[in-house]
Amino acid sequence: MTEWIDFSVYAAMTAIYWFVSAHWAAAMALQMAGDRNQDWLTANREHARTLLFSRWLVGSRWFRWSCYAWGAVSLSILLAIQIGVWRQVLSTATHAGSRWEVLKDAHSTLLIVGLLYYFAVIVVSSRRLAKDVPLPERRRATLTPRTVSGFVPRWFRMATYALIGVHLAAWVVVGTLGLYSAPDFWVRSAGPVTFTGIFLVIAHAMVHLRASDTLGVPDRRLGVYFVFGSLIYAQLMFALRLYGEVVGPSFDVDRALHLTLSATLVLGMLLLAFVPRALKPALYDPA
Amino acid sequence: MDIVVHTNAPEPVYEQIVRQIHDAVKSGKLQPDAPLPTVRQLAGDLRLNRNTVARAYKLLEDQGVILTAGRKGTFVRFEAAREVAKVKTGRAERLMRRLIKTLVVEGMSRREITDIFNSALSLETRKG
Repeated sequence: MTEWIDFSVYAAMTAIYWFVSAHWAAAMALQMAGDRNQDWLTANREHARTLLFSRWLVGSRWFRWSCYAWGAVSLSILLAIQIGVWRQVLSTATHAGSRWEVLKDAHSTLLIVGLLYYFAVIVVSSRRLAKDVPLPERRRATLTPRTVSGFVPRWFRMATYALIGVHLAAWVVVGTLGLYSAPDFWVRSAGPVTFTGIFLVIAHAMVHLRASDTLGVPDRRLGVYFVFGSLIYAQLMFALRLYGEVVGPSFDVDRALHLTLSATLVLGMLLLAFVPRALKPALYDPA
Repeated sequence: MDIVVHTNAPEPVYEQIVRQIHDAVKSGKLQPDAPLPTVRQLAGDLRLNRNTVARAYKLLEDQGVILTAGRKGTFVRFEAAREVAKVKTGRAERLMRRLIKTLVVEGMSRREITDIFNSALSLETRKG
């Protein structure tokens, strides 16, 4: 019975992503063109739409239908695994032993393959867009330096850093006292350290980026908050993993982590897609 | 405060950046010890090559207008306004000397050069 929960989360994520993302990509391309040169876009709106449907790939019908097709294939495979028609595919786990593991592996593989294709199209599309849309001759910039402290309140930053410190210290304590159950504990401990380091660098680098509508983020404030939110989320997820390392195989850490992450991504995509901008005024403060 | 550059202008972009920072210091819009954006931030915002902005910052640092303090960032120096004035008078003096040299080579006398200079100055200040 519980595998239906896994299936529902993965199916929701598949459906939302592959049936909505193609439309996002087209909107994103127009925003990229506007960010690159708003005057050009205003003067060449019809030409831009023609390019969007033909040269810029992401707006084309074939791209949209290829996303729908991949979504349909992914859903079919997940359903086939869930109802037992296809017992082992894209996974080394056995259906009888742990159907949730087969679902997880299949979902991950299908998503990764699909995303590789999706981002390859985005990259080609971006390059063509950059060739077709000239940069403006007149460019403006602020002489005020941007830092993370200008976007995220000090108490929030300190609380995040404190959480990171406590979490990473917990890993060191567990490892030093030998409280772990699996022999490759120290190898696994590289995960939280690496992930945290990468996201800290991203948070500080993000403030230097141009404000852009490219990713649907009208300003970098939302982006910085998103990265800090991801940092906090990652600490909680890895803390869950640490608990699993201590408790041992009786706790399905991987399953809990994967499902929670997927469910959060589904919620995030729904928020981005369907909550109107008017309801998020505090976050859309242009900087 | 913002700066604006025109990539199709005859003046090189890095000189436009230098000039506008000079003007901001002179007018007080940029105060002593005011922080400036990093090369990466300014280059990204203006969509310029980082070397272009780095060149502008290097020139400003050589002129004594700004100070780069490593990881702490880049700041307007306390003596920036004085240094900007020095740069401007230095440039004006170089231009004048070049012009005077040309006129002397053409055989004009000191009095003729002075009369032309005073007449042109009156005309331009009346216009401005």
